[in-house]
Amino acid sequence: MTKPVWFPAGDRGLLLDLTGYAAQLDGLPPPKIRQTLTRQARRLGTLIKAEHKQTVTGITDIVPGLASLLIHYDPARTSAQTIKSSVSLLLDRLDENIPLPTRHWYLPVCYDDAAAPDLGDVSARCGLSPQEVIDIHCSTELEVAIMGFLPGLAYMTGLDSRLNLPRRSEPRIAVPSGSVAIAMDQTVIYPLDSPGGWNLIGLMPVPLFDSQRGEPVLLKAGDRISFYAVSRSDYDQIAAAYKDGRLAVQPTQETAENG
Amino acid sequence: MAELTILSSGPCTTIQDHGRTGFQAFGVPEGGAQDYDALVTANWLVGNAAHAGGLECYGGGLEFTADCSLAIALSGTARGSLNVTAADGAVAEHGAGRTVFIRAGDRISLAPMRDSNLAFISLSAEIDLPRIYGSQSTSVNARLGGLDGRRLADGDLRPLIPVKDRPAPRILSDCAAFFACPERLRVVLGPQDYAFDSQQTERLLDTNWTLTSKMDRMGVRLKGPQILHKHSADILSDGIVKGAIQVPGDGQPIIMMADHQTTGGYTKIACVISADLGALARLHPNRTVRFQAVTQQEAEALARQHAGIRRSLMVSHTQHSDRQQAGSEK
Repeated sequence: MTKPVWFPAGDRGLLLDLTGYAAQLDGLPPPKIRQTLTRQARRLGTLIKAEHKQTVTGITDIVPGLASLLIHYDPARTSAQTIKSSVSLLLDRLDENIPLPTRHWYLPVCYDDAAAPDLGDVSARCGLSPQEVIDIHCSTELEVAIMGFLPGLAYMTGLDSRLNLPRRSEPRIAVPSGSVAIAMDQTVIYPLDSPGGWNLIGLMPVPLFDSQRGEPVLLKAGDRISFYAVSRSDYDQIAAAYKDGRLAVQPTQETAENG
Repeated sequence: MAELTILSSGPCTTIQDHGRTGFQAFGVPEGGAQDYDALVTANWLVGNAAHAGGLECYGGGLEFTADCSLAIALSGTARGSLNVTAADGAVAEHGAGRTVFIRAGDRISLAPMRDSNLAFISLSAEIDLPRIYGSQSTSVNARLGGLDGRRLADGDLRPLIPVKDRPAPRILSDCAAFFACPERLRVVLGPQDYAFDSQQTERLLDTNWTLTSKMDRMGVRLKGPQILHKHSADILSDGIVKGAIQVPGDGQPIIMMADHQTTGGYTKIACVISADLGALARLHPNRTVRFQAVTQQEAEALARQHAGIRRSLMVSHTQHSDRQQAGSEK
């Protein structure tokens, strides 16, 4: 592994760049290495949090990025220097074999025409039938690489290369919440009605963010996601059951995963 | 129950407190009062906890009333004032930085301020709103918190839970110097200053940047010469701090404010230091500003110094217990 590099982010943040390349601008690491480093960043975040309760005080938030970790801190209680020295000790202990907790989710998606305004366009551009697009999207397990943009929005990577497309040249002003969308090697689900430029291929009935829920955020970085297709009537039933509180959404399994 | 009524909301008034700390890994923005100095001092003036929720108001134009007597205070400005119109039509003008006692039915208005684009008004009452991730703060773009996650609108009503005892009158000892507009905002270069050559960094520091009217609670867009990247504006998405100066492909910087998204994929050439974030938030559109580089260590020392100055404003000459309260602020 390349040696991670620290960068200041004002007097309330410290960025650890695990690529170590960034400063030299050797270019961005290839996807496989990127994935490994992103997992390492999450692993380090977990280690810091565990240690945090004992020794590292003054850290206010830890935000994993792609192959990086941003440590927010309070300069009234600690300093960048203090954090660097304590985290560097943890870096030495960082091992790719330390199990990383992960959760597996099977999420229903309605791919019907009315729910998937770009499915026809996506299938045409990928040279596949709409059913093939759906089958491929449902057969790949994705991983939440990072969170961001809106509360609960998960960037899921690992999309099958046959579905790789750029974002739409004209972003939409309003994308409905629950929209399942693809671009590059990723899938996102919009947690709120919002503007967006991704290709919309379906709708997921359970909100990614619900401030009324005990845990408002459904997905977290590191989660594994598989989709399965449901009909519009199943979609409506699931959405209604969730709304009435008859449906508690849980991950299918929680395991520790290496690598 | 007592009630707060917004008669006129002005361009952007929202309910804010200290924001949400510790949930950015879930994409939840920190949010909270743009001007922490105004939040803490206004709350001190009415005897509240330092981080209690109140009204954050851009550009003045706010008018409200309450059907109970309250202590209120305006901060984040030295020259702004609250006009209080009593039921009999009598108008009294009260300056910023002091406790103002209002009676049920008084109408309070905040005119646009010459020295600040942003002010905070505290009330000696709890605004009855749920806390999400420990905060009542409104993040408009995330439709989170406050009143339905949105700006306040004319006619909005909100129940108030006034404090039991009328607080003692207080005054900030020297808010004119503290809230004065700075000539320069100090920055720490990085985290991605390596994506620019030294000429471009100099350009950042040698330019009189104009704050455009494209400013909201998420960010402030600057106008000036183009800042050119060595290669690309894109990076692997990483976490963002408040005050980060992001340079997208068009070379026109955007400063990330309290409701900034938690991660992003554009280079950040520098970050405004925390001691100057309040001043940045108070600047009017079309103002020009310069940046001055300091080291991270210097910025940390400046943050502690700034907090010390802020505490020194909150010293009551009448009650010893006030000093303890000021000292309990984080």
